[in-house]
Amino acid sequence: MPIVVNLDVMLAKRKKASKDLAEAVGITPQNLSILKTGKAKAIRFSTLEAICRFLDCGPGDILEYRNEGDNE
Amino acid sequence: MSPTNSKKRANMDNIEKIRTLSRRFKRLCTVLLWLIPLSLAAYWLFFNQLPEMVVAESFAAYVSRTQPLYVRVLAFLAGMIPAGALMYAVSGLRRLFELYMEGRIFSGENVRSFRRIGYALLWWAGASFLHTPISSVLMTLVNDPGKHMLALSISSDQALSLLLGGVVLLVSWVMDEGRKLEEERSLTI
Repeated sequence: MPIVVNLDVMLAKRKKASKDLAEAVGITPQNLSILKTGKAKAIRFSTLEAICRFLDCGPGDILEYRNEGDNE
Repeated sequence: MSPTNSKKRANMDNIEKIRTLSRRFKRLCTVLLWLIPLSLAAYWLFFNQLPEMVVAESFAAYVSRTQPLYVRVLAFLAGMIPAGALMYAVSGLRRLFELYMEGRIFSGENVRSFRRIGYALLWWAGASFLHTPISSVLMTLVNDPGKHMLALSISSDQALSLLLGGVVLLVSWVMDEGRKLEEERSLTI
């Protein structure tokens, strides 16, 4: 999928645990895993807002567009 | 209680009602799966002893009221053709209620169960049409020469079954769209 979710990178930069992120955002650890592994089909603005607030970053720090053609 | 919480509570109550009713219907389907072949077997086993009014509705006057065992066995096997379709539909229904008990409403398995029921209804319509000539030949097998019969009939039951089968298949397509929407929703974080 062209949109990549860089949650692991931001979690490492902010030295935060996935468990704490899930709790702060109000989603289950399973749903967070779906997000991190790129299996999610969509993300709500409310979820994105909560993630950005917790990690003190912008949406662009978490979501990255990677053209599949660039990988070749 | 906040409006969101009371809505969630109402939703959970509905799901619980669905689970309870589904459990009861699943038990009923299990009973039917045994009852259908057993009642058919009992009918043919005791055919010769059955009261006249029970048999008269299904068979014409020229059918002998005393049939040898091999004819009754063949008649039972012929009866299992439409009965098998009915059992296939009931097993599909049973699986559907099982899924509802698990709280699964829009899964791929639900769609397959609906399709099974739809095809079973179509099968039943065809099978019961075939059953009439087969059973008429079997039931007049032991008659004197010149008194054998081959009957054909089309009834409103078969037409209704064809219609219902088509409707259920259409419902399965709609359910499949529901499944896709549900999958999309479950992967929206």
